[in-house]
Amino acid sequence: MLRLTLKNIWAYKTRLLLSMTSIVLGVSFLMGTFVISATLNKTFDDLFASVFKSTDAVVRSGDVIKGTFGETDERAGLDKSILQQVKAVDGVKSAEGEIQVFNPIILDDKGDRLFNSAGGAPVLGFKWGTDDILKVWRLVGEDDKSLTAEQTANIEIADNTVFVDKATFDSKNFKIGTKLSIIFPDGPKEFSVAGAVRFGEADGAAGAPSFLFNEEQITELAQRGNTYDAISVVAEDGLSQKEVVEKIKIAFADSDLNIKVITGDAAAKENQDTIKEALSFFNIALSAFAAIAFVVAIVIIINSFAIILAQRQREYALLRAVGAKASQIRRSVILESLVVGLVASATGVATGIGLAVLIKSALAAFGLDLPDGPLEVQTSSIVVCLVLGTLATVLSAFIPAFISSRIPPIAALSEAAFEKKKKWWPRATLATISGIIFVTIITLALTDSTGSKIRDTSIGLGAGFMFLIFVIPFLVKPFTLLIGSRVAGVFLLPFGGRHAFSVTGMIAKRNNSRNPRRTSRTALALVIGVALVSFVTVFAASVNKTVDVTLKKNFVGDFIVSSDGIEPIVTPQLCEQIVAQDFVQASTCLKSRSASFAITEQDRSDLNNANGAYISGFNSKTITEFYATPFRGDLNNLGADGVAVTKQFAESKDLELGSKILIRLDAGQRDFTVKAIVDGGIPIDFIEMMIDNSAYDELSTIKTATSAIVLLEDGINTNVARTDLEELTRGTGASVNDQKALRDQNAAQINQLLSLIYALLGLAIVIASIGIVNTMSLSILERTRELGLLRAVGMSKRQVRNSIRFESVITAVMGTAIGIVFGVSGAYFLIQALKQDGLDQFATGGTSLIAIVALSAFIGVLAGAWPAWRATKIDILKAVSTE
Amino acid sequence: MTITSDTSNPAASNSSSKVAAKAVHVTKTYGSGEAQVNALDDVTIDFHHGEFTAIMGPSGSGKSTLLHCIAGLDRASGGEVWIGETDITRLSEKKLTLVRRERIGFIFQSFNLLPTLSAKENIELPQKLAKGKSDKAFTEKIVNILGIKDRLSHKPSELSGGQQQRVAVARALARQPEIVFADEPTGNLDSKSGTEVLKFMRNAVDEFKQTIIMVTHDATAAAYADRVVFLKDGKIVNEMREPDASSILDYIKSLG
Repeated sequence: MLRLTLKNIWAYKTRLLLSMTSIVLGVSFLMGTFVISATLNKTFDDLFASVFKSTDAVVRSGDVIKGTFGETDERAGLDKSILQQVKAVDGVKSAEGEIQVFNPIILDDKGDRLFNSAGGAPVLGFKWGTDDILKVWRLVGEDDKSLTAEQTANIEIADNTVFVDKATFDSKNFKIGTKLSIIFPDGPKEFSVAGAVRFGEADGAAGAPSFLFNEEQITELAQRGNTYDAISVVAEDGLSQKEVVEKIKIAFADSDLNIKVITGDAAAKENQDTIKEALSFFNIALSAFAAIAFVVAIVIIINSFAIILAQRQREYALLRAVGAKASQIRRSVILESLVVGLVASATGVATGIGLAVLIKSALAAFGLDLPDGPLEVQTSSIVVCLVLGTLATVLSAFIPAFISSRIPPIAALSEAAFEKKKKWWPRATLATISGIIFVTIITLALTDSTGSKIRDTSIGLGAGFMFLIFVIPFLVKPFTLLIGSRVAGVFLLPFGGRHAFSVTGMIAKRNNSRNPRRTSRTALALVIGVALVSFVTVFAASVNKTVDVTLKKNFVGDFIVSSDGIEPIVTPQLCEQIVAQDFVQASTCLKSRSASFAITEQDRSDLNNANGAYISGFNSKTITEFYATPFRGDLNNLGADGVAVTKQFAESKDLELGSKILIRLDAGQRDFTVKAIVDGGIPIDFIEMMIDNSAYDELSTIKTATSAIVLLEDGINTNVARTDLEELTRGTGASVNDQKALRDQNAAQINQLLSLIYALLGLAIVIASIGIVNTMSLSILERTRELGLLRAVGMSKRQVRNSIRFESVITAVMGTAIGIVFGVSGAYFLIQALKQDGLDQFATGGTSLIAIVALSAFIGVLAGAWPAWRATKIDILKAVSTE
Repeated sequence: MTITSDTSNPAASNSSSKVAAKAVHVTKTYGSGEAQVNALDDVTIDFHHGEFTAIMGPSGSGKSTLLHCIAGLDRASGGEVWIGETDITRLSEKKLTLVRRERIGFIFQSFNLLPTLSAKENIELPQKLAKGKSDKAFTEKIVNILGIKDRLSHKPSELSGGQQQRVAVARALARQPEIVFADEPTGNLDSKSGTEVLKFMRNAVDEFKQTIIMVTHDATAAAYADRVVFLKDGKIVNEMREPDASSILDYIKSLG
């Protein structure tokens, strides 16, 4: 049977090649994802390994402030005096106090931001270390070579000068002496670039623009008082990391400072793990898209095998007639799929590595720059891709193989057995049952208040997908009639809709619905892709609208001064200046960061392991002038120990007015009393607790605000006020926006994310359209005689092409229509489920949906082009000859 | 019945009526060099309007090739093929398709009908492809004569072989084309159905002055024609007028 298998593969090579494309694409996306993930992990592993290369121990505060939304935990600073104590410990060779600043605001000499933090890599500020062993940065000399540690030994950074990583230095066309403006808490300071540095051997720190300051200025910029983030320690020669850690621990055992000491290796590991966790969202998202592409590919390969094997039924019947066992035929088919699967997967692995390069540049185009460096291709990734791709192919061939093997030998002789009709009622029953399950689960999920609505709705949508699989074959005929109707033809005019009026269109319609199961499987691939795209579209449009409505309803300020990104930008100095303007009736600076909080006794006693939440500082006295949000309690007099919480937060934590919350920020902790409960719509969506700025400034080292909100005096000309505010913010990096601009900015951010998702889902649609090409091509091979007959009785090549293309358009539009209905209703159900979480607006993003329909009809035209061309190449004589 | 042994100008015998189609020094070769096969070797023949011609010959004699070349389904390697006043060897593929659609009707041995279309739709297919108006009355008349009126809404798979072939005949005749080409139209039918189809074709010639050229290997079928042309090794070797089955059979035996 092996020879027969190989012969079959050769004989059907065109058909198999077509089918392979989908597996190749699916596997290559998976492989690309693996490569990108592995590359990222490797880059950061290497990065931190080199950062901590010489570090034997790390000393840091034991006071933890829990991060939220995947942010890393923060720690309180260490007073600088501790450095001397550490240095004095027996066994410590040298030590260095570390200070790092996240997203400092850096402007060029014209006052424009040099980096936009939204979506891009963060900008980092570092201390230029004085310890030669611990120093990881190397100054670049005039000959473009790094200076040695000895040569760098005595170099210090003067006030108001910075070193910049070589990658940024080059990409921003810096020169020695280039003027920069850097925003300090007391206002902008003029700096000049004093040199370029390498990070070990690398030109940059994994794509993050890095600026190095002297200790005084980085301390000032960090706003963390006279503290270090941590102290890195080098042990005396001959002392292990553990030994030096023990010695330091013992030295501080009697101190009442809460100090933690870990080994350099542990610190490196911790950093590596943290970044991996931060990247895991990205990896999961990529994997999800790879999975989608893969599922679509499987649908197509199942269809391909079903068609190919159906075309070969006579051969198998003949084999059976001459004595082949059913099991032999089954084995032959499985073996064939194994070969095909292996070849396709191997090709997919190879193209996947190429795709990784593409994904990398695509992500860069969306502002998600990945670090430079070689791609990391792991053997395990290759193996997993090969196994998954082959397994998927073999499993896809399994059912068709089983059906083929059961072909009665008599089918070889009689034409009739070929078109044997399958019973329709088992599928109808399955469709009905799954439909009932779908409706029931969704109804229950949305009406029942107990249990997780999101989870239940998701399960319901899963059932809905099963329902689709069973019901689409029954929809093929009505949909074909509908889409091929004259009325629809008018709408489809740009895509060959005129054929709805002619015999070419009629033939297309008949062909499209002659094998509903085949057409439904072809359409299913597109249904999945389009459903996801329209789901995301509707979901994003609804989020946009919700934010829009919430802002309109709750935010009554005239202007907001903030960064275009999310980083704190309004310095206390700027804040004071804004408040002092005489056209300002009221204003508040809004500050926010993560805080640890404790309500229960257990959490209070172990605050380091308690939960974190986002907290905001604002001007309690004036807040009600900006926000029309309903609330209970007294929002205007929070004072030094009052906190306002959202209704959801209060409900989930069992809080009432008067409840106590212990809140810790990096400069201290305080017991707060709940004085107000706000009914949703706190200015920034994810903030759960709000305190007055007076309390915030005492507890937080960082006093720079995210934004300043301004309400104008009555009768003030807004344009004049805007000009004044813009004048005030010139050179600070902050921008002045009114309500509408703020909403637009919000929408722009969501849309940016959306376009990235579109790009990734686009691949699923590309694979689906290849599925259409595939099915159409296979069908045309099957219809050689029919096409020959048509050509003989006078169908022109043009009419043949039109007919095939129209058939393809009908399939594409059908898949799109079903996909949109499912995607939109899925989004609707999920939004209903999320209503209690504040997502209370539903928007369809109408124009986007119309664009999706147009696009997929166009895809239908494109997908039909090649099969249509092939169809005109058939030999009329072969089709009609009897000899 | 006449038997002419002069094969150089076989068509000259009936020059009084209009020529519906003719082949002039037509050759058709396959392959090249040593492997070259001459399927048609300098064939010259006229087909007259309103005449029913049968082309016969042993397997590989080139009878089907000749039909395909005259019908514009295949291209001759040399010589000219005329349909009426048109030399179709000089036509583009596009114009040739139009000739087939507008001026020619086809009946094949099997697989004459599109399985997705009903009998009626199959009959109307050439008209619809040409976007022209069909002669409803004429079509109805043919359908009635063929006795397939109550079968019109059926799909081919729901029709018997004979019925399918009658639908094919109806399709070929419905537009009253200049010539109907039939390639073994009864080859797949039982004798009763075959006879019905042949009778109808004969009837169409007599009643509507339809020109028919039919390839067959069946002497009984050929006996329905006005004229039988014999091919051997790509050459016309003989022809008979007003043939009967037994004399055809005798001649074929003599051909070997």
